Amino acid sequence: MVNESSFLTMHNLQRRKENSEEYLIGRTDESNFVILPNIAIEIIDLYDQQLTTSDISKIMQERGIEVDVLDFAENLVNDLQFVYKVDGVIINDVVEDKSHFKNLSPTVSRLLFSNFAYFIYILFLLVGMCICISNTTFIPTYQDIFVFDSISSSIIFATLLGWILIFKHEFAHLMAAKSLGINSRIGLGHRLVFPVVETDMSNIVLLPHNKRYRALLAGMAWDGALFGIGVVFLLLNTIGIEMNIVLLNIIKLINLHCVLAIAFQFMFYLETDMYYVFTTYFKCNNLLHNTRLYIRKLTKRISKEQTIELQNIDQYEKKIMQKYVWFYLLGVIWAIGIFIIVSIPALLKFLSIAIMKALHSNILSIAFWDALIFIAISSIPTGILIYSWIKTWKSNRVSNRPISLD
Amino acid sequence: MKIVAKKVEKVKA
Repeated sequence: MVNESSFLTMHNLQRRKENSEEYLIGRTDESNFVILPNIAIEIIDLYDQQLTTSDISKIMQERGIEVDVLDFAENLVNDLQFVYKVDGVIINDVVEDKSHFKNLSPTVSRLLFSNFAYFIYILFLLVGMCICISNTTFIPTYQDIFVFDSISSSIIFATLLGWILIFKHEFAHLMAAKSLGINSRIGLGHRLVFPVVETDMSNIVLLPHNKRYRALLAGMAWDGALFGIGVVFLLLNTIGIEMNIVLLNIIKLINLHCVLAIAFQFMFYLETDMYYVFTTYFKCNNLLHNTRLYIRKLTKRISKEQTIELQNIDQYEKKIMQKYVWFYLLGVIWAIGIFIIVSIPALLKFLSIAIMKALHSNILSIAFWDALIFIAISSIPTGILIYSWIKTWKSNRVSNRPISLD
Repeated sequence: MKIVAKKVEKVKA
Protein backbone atom coordinates (compact mmCIF):
# COMPACT_ATOMS: atom_id res chain seq x y z
CA MET A 1 0.00 0.00 0.00
CA VAL A 2 2.93 2.36 0.67
CA ASN A 3 5.26 2.89 -2.29
CA GLU A 4 8.06 5.23 -3.33
CA SER A 5 5.63 7.93 -4.52
CA SER A 6 3.40 7.85 -1.40
CA PHE A 7 2.57 10.94 0.65
CA LEU A 8 1.99 10.16 4.33
CA THR A 9 -0.15 12.38 6.55
CA MET A 10 0.67 11.82 10.21
CA HIS A 11 -1.64 11.92 13.21
CA ASN A 12 -1.00 14.64 15.78
CA LEU A 13 2.20 13.18 17.22
CA GLN A 14 3.61 14.41 20.53
CA ARG A 15 7.28 13.94 21.34
CA ARG A 16 9.82 14.29 24.14
CA LYS A 17 13.61 14.13 23.87
CA GLU A 18 14.70 10.93 25.63
CA ASN A 19 18.48 11.40 25.28
CA SER A 20 20.97 12.79 22.75
CA GLU A 21 20.21 9.97 20.28
CA GLU A 22 16.50 9.24 20.73
CA TYR A 23 13.02 10.71 21.05
CA LEU A 24 9.87 9.34 22.65
CA ILE A 25 7.02 9.91 20.21
CA GLY A 26 3.40 8.82 19.87
CA ARG A 27 -0.30 9.47 19.54
CA THR A 28 -2.08 10.90 22.57
CA ASP A 29 -5.53 9.72 21.38
CA GLU A 30 -4.39 6.07 21.38
CA SER A 31 -1.73 6.58 24.07
CA ASN A 32 0.77 4.45 22.17
CA PHE A 33 4.36 5.64 22.34
CA VAL A 34 7.70 4.37 21.09
CA ILE A 35 11.34 5.39 21.28
CA LEU A 36 12.82 6.24 17.88
CA PRO A 37 16.32 7.35 16.82
CA ASN A 38 16.79 10.98 15.73
CA ILE A 39 16.96 9.97 12.06
CA ALA A 40 13.43 8.49 12.28
CA ILE A 41 12.11 11.75 13.73
CA GLU A 42 13.74 13.64 10.84
CA ILE A 43 11.99 11.33 8.35
CA ILE A 44 8.61 11.94 10.05
CA ASP A 45 9.25 15.71 9.87
CA LEU A 46 10.06 15.39 6.15
CA TYR A 47 6.78 13.53 5.56
CA ASP A 48 5.05 16.40 7.36
CA GLN A 49 6.58 18.72 4.72
CA GLN A 50 4.62 16.80 2.04
CA LEU A 51 7.65 14.96 0.65
CA THR A 52 7.24 11.50 -0.87
CA THR A 53 9.10 8.37 0.24
CA SER A 54 11.30 8.67 -2.85
CA ASP A 55 12.13 12.35 -2.08
CA ILE A 56 13.14 11.45 1.48
CA SER A 57 15.25 8.48 0.31
CA LYS A 58 17.16 10.84 -2.04
CA ILE A 59 17.78 13.37 0.77
CA MET A 60 19.13 10.58 2.98
CA GLN A 61 21.39 9.27 0.20
CA GLU A 62 22.74 12.79 -0.46
CA ARG A 63 23.63 13.03 3.23
CA GLY A 64 25.36 9.64 3.07
CA ILE A 65 22.84 7.98 5.42
CA GLU A 66 21.94 4.39 4.52
CA VAL A 67 18.37 4.03 5.76
CA ASP A 68 15.43 1.99 4.44
CA VAL A 69 12.79 4.75 4.29
CA LEU A 70 10.14 2.56 2.61
CA ASP A 71 10.43 -0.11 5.33
CA PHE A 72 10.09 2.58 8.01
CA ALA A 73 7.06 4.06 6.21
CA GLU A 74 5.36 0.64 6.26
CA ASN A 75 6.14 0.40 9.97
CA LEU A 76 4.62 3.83 10.55
CA VAL A 77 1.42 2.71 8.81
CA ASN A 78 0.99 -0.86 10.04
CA ASP A 79 2.80 -1.42 13.34
CA LEU A 80 2.94 2.02 14.92
CA GLN A 81 -0.27 3.32 13.29
CA PHE A 82 1.11 6.87 13.40
CA VAL A 83 -0.12 7.55 9.84
CA TYR A 84 -3.57 9.08 9.40
CA LYS A 85 -3.70 9.08 5.58
CA VAL A 86 -1.72 7.51 2.73
CA ASP A 87 -2.14 9.53 -0.50
CA GLY A 88 -5.27 11.15 0.95
CA VAL A 89 -6.95 7.87 1.95
CA ILE A 90 -7.66 7.43 5.68
CA ILE A 91 -5.75 4.38 6.95
CA ASN A 92 -5.82 4.78 10.73
CA ASP A 93 -8.76 6.91 11.85
CA VAL A 94 -8.66 9.32 14.79
CA VAL A 95 -9.77 7.70 18.04
CA GLU A 96 -12.35 9.57 20.09
CA ASP A 97 -11.03 10.93 23.41
CA LYS A 98 -12.67 8.68 26.02
CA SER A 99 -10.96 10.10 29.10
CA HIS A 100 -13.06 10.57 32.25
CA PHE A 101 -13.80 13.71 34.30
CA LYS A 102 -12.35 15.94 31.59
CA ASN A 103 -13.93 19.02 33.22
CA LEU A 104 -12.21 18.41 36.55
CA SER A 105 -10.62 21.64 37.79
CA PRO A 106 -6.82 21.54 37.32
CA THR A 107 -6.53 24.16 40.10
CA VAL A 108 -8.29 21.95 42.67
CA SER A 109 -6.27 18.95 41.44
CA ARG A 110 -3.00 20.86 41.87
CA LEU A 111 -4.08 21.93 45.36
CA LEU A 112 -4.88 18.34 46.46
CA PHE A 113 -1.60 17.00 45.07
CA SER A 114 0.79 19.83 45.86
CA ASN A 115 4.02 19.18 47.78
CA PHE A 116 2.29 20.53 50.90
CA ALA A 117 -0.67 18.16 50.43
CA TYR A 118 1.74 15.22 50.04
CA PHE A 119 3.49 16.32 53.26
CA ILE A 120 0.13 16.18 55.09
CA TYR A 121 -0.71 12.73 53.62
CA ILE A 122 2.67 11.28 54.64
CA LEU A 123 2.34 12.89 58.09
CA PHE A 124 -1.04 11.18 58.66
CA LEU A 125 0.42 7.83 57.52
CA LEU A 126 3.44 8.17 59.84
CA VAL A 127 1.24 9.16 62.80
CA GLY A 128 -0.97 6.12 62.13
CA MET A 129 2.06 3.81 61.90
CA CYS A 130 3.59 5.20 65.12
CA ILE A 131 0.31 4.67 67.02
CA CYS A 132 0.11 1.08 65.68
CA ILE A 133 3.71 0.37 66.72
CA SER A 134 3.09 1.72 70.24
CA ASN A 135 -0.23 -0.15 70.56
CA THR A 136 -0.50 -3.21 68.33
CA THR A 137 -4.25 -3.62 68.99
CA PHE A 138 -4.77 -0.89 66.35
CA ILE A 139 -3.16 -3.01 63.62
CA PRO A 140 -5.94 -4.24 61.27
CA THR A 141 -6.79 -7.96 61.30
CA TYR A 142 -9.07 -10.10 59.15
CA GLN A 143 -11.67 -10.05 61.93
CA ASP A 144 -12.20 -6.37 61.03
CA ILE A 145 -14.13 -7.43 57.93
CA PHE A 146 -17.12 -8.23 60.18
CA VAL A 147 -18.81 -4.90 60.85
CA PHE A 148 -22.11 -6.50 61.89
CA ASP A 149 -23.05 -9.69 63.78
CA SER A 150 -24.51 -11.13 60.57
CA ILE A 151 -21.77 -12.57 58.32
CA SER A 152 -23.76 -11.97 55.11
CA SER A 153 -24.55 -8.35 56.00
CA SER A 154 -20.88 -7.82 56.83
CA ILE A 155 -19.69 -9.26 53.50
CA ILE A 156 -22.23 -7.23 51.51
CA PHE A 157 -21.25 -4.05 53.38
CA ALA A 158 -17.51 -4.77 53.02
CA THR A 159 -17.95 -5.27 49.28
CA LEU A 160 -19.90 -2.04 48.79
CA LEU A 161 -17.45 -0.05 50.93
CA GLY A 162 -14.56 -1.78 49.13
CA TRP A 163 -15.80 -0.53 45.76
CA ILE A 164 -16.13 3.03 47.10
CA LEU A 165 -12.55 2.86 48.42
CA ILE A 166 -11.28 1.37 45.14
CA PHE A 167 -12.89 4.26 43.25
CA LYS A 168 -11.34 6.71 45.74
CA HIS A 169 -7.88 5.21 45.02
CA GLU A 170 -8.32 5.44 41.24
CA PHE A 171 -9.84 8.92 41.43
CA ALA A 172 -6.71 10.06 43.28
CA HIS A 173 -4.58 8.88 40.33
CA LEU A 174 -6.91 10.55 37.84
CA MET A 175 -6.92 13.83 39.77
CA ALA A 176 -3.14 13.86 40.29
CA ALA A 177 -2.60 13.17 36.57
CA LYS A 178 -5.02 16.02 35.80
CA SER A 179 -2.91 18.31 38.00
CA LEU A 180 -0.04 17.53 35.60
CA GLY A 181 -2.19 18.24 32.53
CA ILE A 182 -2.73 14.56 31.67
CA ASN A 183 -6.23 13.18 31.02
CA SER A 184 -6.94 9.63 32.22
CA ARG A 185 -9.56 6.93 31.99
CA ILE A 186 -10.76 4.48 34.65
CA GLY A 187 -11.53 0.93 33.50
CA LEU A 188 -11.45 -2.76 34.39
CA GLY A 189 -8.53 -5.07 33.73
CA HIS A 190 -6.44 -7.85 35.21
CA ARG A 191 -2.95 -8.47 36.50
CA LEU A 192 -2.20 -12.15 35.91
CA VAL A 193 -4.98 -13.78 38.02
CA PHE A 194 -6.10 -10.65 39.88
CA PRO A 195 -9.10 -8.67 38.64
CA VAL A 196 -8.27 -4.96 38.94
CA VAL A 197 -9.69 -1.50 38.45
CA GLU A 198 -7.13 0.60 36.59
CA THR A 199 -6.54 4.22 35.62
CA ASP A 200 -4.98 4.53 32.18
CA MET A 201 -2.72 7.57 32.29
CA SER A 202 -0.33 6.42 29.56
CA ASN A 203 0.18 9.94 28.20
CA ILE A 204 2.17 10.64 31.37
CA VAL A 205 5.26 9.30 29.55
CA LEU A 206 5.37 12.65 27.72
CA LEU A 207 6.44 14.22 31.02
CA PRO A 208 10.02 14.01 32.36
CA HIS A 209 10.49 11.04 34.72
CA ASN A 210 10.78 13.11 37.91
CA LYS A 211 7.39 14.78 37.27
CA ARG A 212 5.47 11.47 37.18
CA TYR A 213 5.71 10.37 40.83
CA ARG A 214 2.94 12.74 41.94
CA ALA A 215 0.41 10.80 39.83
CA LEU A 216 1.92 7.33 40.36
CA LEU A 217 1.87 7.60 44.18
CA ALA A 218 -1.46 9.45 44.46
CA GLY A 219 -3.60 6.37 45.19
CA MET A 220 -1.27 5.13 47.92
CA ALA A 221 -1.01 8.66 49.36
CA TRP A 222 -4.77 8.82 49.89
CA ASP A 223 -4.86 5.22 51.21
CA GLY A 224 -2.05 6.02 53.66
CA ALA A 225 -3.63 9.28 54.82
CA LEU A 226 -7.04 7.64 55.32
CA PHE A 227 -5.40 4.83 57.33
CA GLY A 228 -3.63 7.38 59.55
CA ILE A 229 -6.85 9.33 60.17
CA GLY A 230 -8.67 6.06 60.98
CA VAL A 231 -6.06 5.03 63.55
CA VAL A 232 -6.26 8.48 65.18
CA PHE A 233 -10.05 8.04 65.54
CA LEU A 234 -9.52 4.59 67.12
CA LEU A 235 -7.03 6.14 69.55
CA LEU A 236 -9.46 8.94 70.45
CA ASN A 237 -12.06 6.29 71.27
CA THR A 238 -9.74 4.66 73.81
CA ILE A 239 -8.88 7.92 75.57
CA GLY A 240 -12.39 9.06 76.38
CA ILE A 241 -14.19 10.14 73.19
CA GLU A 242 -16.54 7.16 72.91
CA MET A 243 -18.00 6.28 69.52
CA ASN A 244 -20.82 4.10 68.26
CA ILE A 245 -19.66 0.45 67.96
CA VAL A 246 -20.81 0.19 64.31
CA LEU A 247 -18.92 3.40 63.42
CA LEU A 248 -15.80 1.99 65.11
CA ASN A 249 -16.17 -1.26 63.16
CA ILE A 250 -16.51 0.70 59.89
CA ILE A 251 -13.30 2.62 60.69
CA LYS A 252 -11.52 -0.70 61.37
CA LEU A 253 -12.78 -2.07 58.04
CA ILE A 254 -11.54 1.04 56.19
CA ASN A 255 -8.14 0.66 57.89
CA LEU A 256 -7.97 -3.02 56.87
CA HIS A 257 -8.81 -2.13 53.27
CA CYS A 258 -6.18 0.66 53.17
CA VAL A 259 -3.42 -1.62 54.52
CA LEU A 260 -4.27 -4.40 52.05
CA ALA A 261 -4.52 -1.88 49.22
CA ILE A 262 -1.03 -0.55 49.96
CA ALA A 263 0.34 -4.12 50.32
CA PHE A 264 -1.09 -5.03 46.90
CA GLN A 265 0.85 -2.17 45.29
CA PHE A 266 4.12 -3.76 46.44
CA MET A 267 3.49 -6.84 44.28
CA PHE A 268 5.79 -5.19 41.80
CA TYR A 269 6.18 -8.24 39.60
CA LEU A 270 2.76 -7.16 38.30
CA GLU A 271 2.08 -3.75 36.78
CA THR A 272 1.12 -2.19 40.10
CA ASP A 273 1.72 1.39 41.26
CA MET A 274 5.08 0.48 42.85
CA TYR A 275 6.15 -1.28 39.64
CA TYR A 276 5.65 2.00 37.76
CA VAL A 277 7.54 3.90 40.47
CA PHE A 278 10.37 1.36 40.10
CA THR A 279 10.48 1.59 36.28
CA THR A 280 10.23 5.38 36.39
CA TYR A 281 13.12 5.61 38.87
CA PHE A 282 15.32 3.28 36.79
CA LYS A 283 14.06 4.79 33.49
CA CYS A 284 12.97 1.43 32.03
CA ASN A 285 10.55 1.86 29.14
CA ASN A 286 9.03 -1.61 28.91
CA LEU A 287 10.49 -3.78 31.67
CA LEU A 288 7.69 -6.35 32.09
CA HIS A 289 7.22 -6.91 28.34
CA ASN A 290 10.98 -7.24 27.81
CA THR A 291 11.26 -9.62 30.78
CA ARG A 292 8.59 -11.85 29.23
CA LEU A 293 10.56 -11.81 25.95
CA TYR A 294 13.70 -12.77 27.90
CA ILE A 295 11.84 -15.72 29.49
CA ARG A 296 10.67 -16.77 26.00
CA LYS A 297 14.33 -16.71 24.90
CA LEU A 298 15.41 -18.79 27.92
CA THR A 299 12.66 -21.34 27.22
CA LYS A 300 13.39 -21.25 23.45
CA ARG A 301 9.85 -20.11 22.55
CA ILE A 302 10.90 -16.84 20.90
CA SER A 303 10.00 -15.77 17.36
CA LYS A 304 12.36 -14.03 14.91
CA GLU A 305 10.63 -10.65 15.40
CA GLN A 306 10.80 -11.03 19.18
CA THR A 307 14.53 -11.87 18.97
CA ILE A 308 15.16 -8.63 17.05
CA GLU A 309 13.07 -6.72 19.61
CA LEU A 310 15.07 -8.27 22.48
CA GLN A 311 18.39 -7.41 20.80
CA ASN A 312 17.39 -3.75 20.56
CA ILE A 313 16.76 -3.25 24.27
CA ASP A 314 19.19 -0.82 25.94
CA GLN A 315 22.10 -2.56 27.69
CA TYR A 316 21.16 -0.62 30.83
CA GLU A 317 17.59 -1.99 30.82
CA LYS A 318 18.90 -5.50 30.02
CA LYS A 319 20.99 -5.48 33.22
CA ILE A 320 17.96 -4.51 35.33
CA MET A 321 15.82 -7.06 33.47
CA GLN A 322 18.23 -9.91 34.27
CA LYS A 323 17.81 -9.19 38.00
CA TYR A 324 14.09 -8.40 37.82
CA VAL A 325 13.30 -11.67 36.02
CA TRP A 326 13.80 -13.66 39.26
CA PHE A 327 11.39 -11.42 41.22
CA TYR A 328 8.96 -11.80 38.34
CA LEU A 329 9.20 -15.61 38.14
CA LEU A 330 8.91 -16.10 41.92
CA GLY A 331 6.01 -13.64 42.10
CA VAL A 332 4.14 -15.27 39.23
CA ILE A 333 4.62 -18.77 40.69
CA TRP A 334 3.44 -17.52 44.10
CA ALA A 335 0.38 -15.74 42.65
CA ILE A 336 -0.70 -18.64 40.43
CA GLY A 337 -0.05 -21.07 43.30
CA ILE A 338 -2.26 -19.07 45.68
CA PHE A 339 -4.90 -18.78 42.95
CA ILE A 340 -5.02 -22.55 42.33
CA ILE A 341 -4.49 -23.76 45.92
CA VAL A 342 -6.48 -21.13 47.86
CA SER A 343 -8.68 -18.84 45.74
CA ILE A 344 -10.41 -21.31 43.41
CA PRO A 345 -11.14 -24.00 46.08
CA ALA A 346 -12.37 -21.34 48.55
CA LEU A 347 -14.60 -19.73 45.92
CA LEU A 348 -16.03 -23.10 44.82
CA LYS A 349 -16.61 -24.19 48.42
CA PHE A 350 -18.46 -21.00 49.41
CA LEU A 351 -20.43 -20.99 46.16
CA SER A 352 -21.50 -24.62 46.58
CA ILE A 353 -22.63 -23.92 50.17
CA ALA A 354 -24.57 -20.84 48.99
CA ILE A 355 -26.16 -22.70 46.04
CA MET A 356 -27.24 -25.62 48.28
CA LYS A 357 -28.65 -23.11 50.78
CA ALA A 358 -30.59 -21.33 48.02
CA LEU A 359 -31.94 -24.61 46.60
CA HIS A 360 -33.19 -25.77 50.00
CA SER A 361 -34.81 -22.47 51.00
CA ASN A 362 -38.19 -20.96 50.25
CA ILE A 363 -37.95 -18.25 47.58
CA LEU A 364 -39.56 -15.77 49.98
CA SER A 365 -37.21 -16.60 52.88
CA ILE A 366 -34.30 -14.42 54.04
CA ALA A 367 -31.97 -17.44 53.72
CA PHE A 368 -32.70 -17.72 49.96
CA TRP A 369 -31.96 -14.06 49.22
CA ASP A 370 -29.00 -14.12 51.59
CA ALA A 371 -27.47 -16.96 49.53
CA LEU A 372 -28.36 -15.31 46.22
CA ILE A 373 -26.71 -11.99 47.16
CA PHE A 374 -23.61 -13.87 48.33
CA ILE A 375 -23.41 -15.71 44.96
CA ALA A 376 -23.77 -12.40 43.08
CA ILE A 377 -21.06 -10.68 45.14
CA SER A 378 -18.64 -13.61 44.83
CA SER A 379 -19.11 -13.61 41.07
CA ILE A 380 -18.14 -9.93 40.55
CA PRO A 381 -14.31 -10.35 40.76
CA THR A 382 -14.44 -13.58 38.74
CA GLY A 383 -16.64 -11.82 36.16
CA ILE A 384 -14.15 -8.93 35.87
CA LEU A 385 -11.28 -11.40 35.44
CA ILE A 386 -13.01 -13.36 32.66
CA TYR A 387 -14.16 -10.11 30.94
CA SER A 388 -10.61 -8.72 31.01
CA TRP A 389 -9.02 -11.96 29.79
CA ILE A 390 -11.42 -12.08 26.82
CA LYS A 391 -10.83 -8.35 26.07
CA THR A 392 -7.04 -8.87 26.07
CA TRP A 393 -7.31 -11.98 23.89
CA LYS A 394 -9.49 -10.13 21.34
CA SER A 395 -7.17 -7.10 21.39
CA ASN A 396 -4.13 -9.32 20.72
CA ARG A 397 -5.92 -10.94 17.78
CA VAL A 398 -6.79 -7.55 16.22
CA SER A 399 -3.29 -6.10 16.73
CA ASN A 400 -1.74 -9.08 14.92
CA ARG A 401 -3.91 -8.45 11.84
CA PRO A 402 -2.17 -6.41 9.07
CA ILE A 403 -3.91 -3.26 7.84
CA SER A 404 -5.16 -3.41 4.27
CA LEU A 405 -6.59 -0.87 1.84
CA ASP A 406 -8.91 -3.53 0.38
CA MET B 1 19.78 0.25 7.79
CA LYS B 2 16.32 -0.56 9.10
CA ILE B 3 14.85 1.68 11.79
CA VAL B 4 13.71 -0.21 14.89
CA ALA B 5 11.13 1.31 17.26
CA LYS B 6 11.33 0.44 20.95
CA LYS B 7 7.89 0.06 22.49
CA VAL B 8 6.99 2.08 25.58
CA GLU B 9 4.61 0.36 27.98
CA LYS B 10 1.26 1.85 28.90
CA VAL B 11 0.94 3.30 32.40
CA LYS B 12 -2.13 1.94 34.18
CA ALA B 13 -2.29 2.55 37.92
